[in-house]
Amino acid sequence: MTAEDRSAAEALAPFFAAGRADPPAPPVNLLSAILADAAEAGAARRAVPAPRRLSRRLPGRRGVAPGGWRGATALAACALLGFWLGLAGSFSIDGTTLRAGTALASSEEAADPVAAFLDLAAVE
Amino acid sequence: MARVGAVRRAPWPPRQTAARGEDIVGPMARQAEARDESDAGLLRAYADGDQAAARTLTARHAPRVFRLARRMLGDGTEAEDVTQEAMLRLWRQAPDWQEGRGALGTWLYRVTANLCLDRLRRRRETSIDAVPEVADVAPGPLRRIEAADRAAALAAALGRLPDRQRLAVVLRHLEERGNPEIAAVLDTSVEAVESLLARARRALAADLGDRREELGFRDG
Repeated sequence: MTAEDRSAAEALAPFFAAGRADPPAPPVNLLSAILADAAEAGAARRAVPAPRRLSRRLPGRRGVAPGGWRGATALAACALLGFWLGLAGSFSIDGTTLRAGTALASSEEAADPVAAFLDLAAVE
Repeated sequence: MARVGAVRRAPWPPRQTAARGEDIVGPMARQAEARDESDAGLLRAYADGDQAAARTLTARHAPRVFRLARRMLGDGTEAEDVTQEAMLRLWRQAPDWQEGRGALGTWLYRVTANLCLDRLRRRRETSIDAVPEVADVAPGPLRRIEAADRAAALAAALGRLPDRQRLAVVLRHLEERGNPEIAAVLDTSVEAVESLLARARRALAADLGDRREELGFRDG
């Protein structure tokens, strides 16, 4: 602190003491308004609805899959069919053979490429 | 926000006969002392719905916030608005307050200081004529209330300082805060605060120097 700063600080000391001696105090109605704001802000915060649970947004009762019992049954049946098809390798419905990932016509199923070649050769 | 409304403007400096919030703050402050809990704990309690915690926090902090705003703005009504706004921000902040973020008092000082600086800036932008002058007091002929006259002269001289210098002086010499806390409020370094204070004291001393005799100083 320079001599000038020290001199200024000493000269101002009684002014600062006088300023501290009688500090401004908040009026009563301000304190009431602050407390009213506190109550209002707390109430507003509590009034905000909590996020709804996902299951409530889904149709049907809680714990039931989408689509109800019919949907669940169909899903299970499809899963079983797929499982069985995977084990069996192929099966036939109305002349159409189903294999894992492909469907062949019954005529294609019967066709033997070697025999067909021999048949064509005999015709010629 | 519940507005304070048409509040009777308190005189500055306050007269001895003026109704003082001290009458109300006093009991609240005693209640605040009786509830020896950290600010962070009280904020948690308030966020959980404890309205008594809000009363304790108000008693602890609203008078400090109001004093700073009053001394910065030189206007009671504006100081009330700023105090209410700063405290409202505190209520809204309460659920998210983290204990490690620093002292609540410093945070409130910073919020209050920014609100005051914004208002002072707006005053200048609106119209220089609209700036309410802090009343410069003529010394009483009998100098019966020298201390009040000195406080008024100081308030008037503070009003003529640049905003940040005024803020630094009010926090250091009237609120008696340390330079590190003032640096946190002003978002600057301790060295910058010391520089601000030195310049402000020199300006104040020059401003008030001519008035020393009429304000009751008899040291020549």
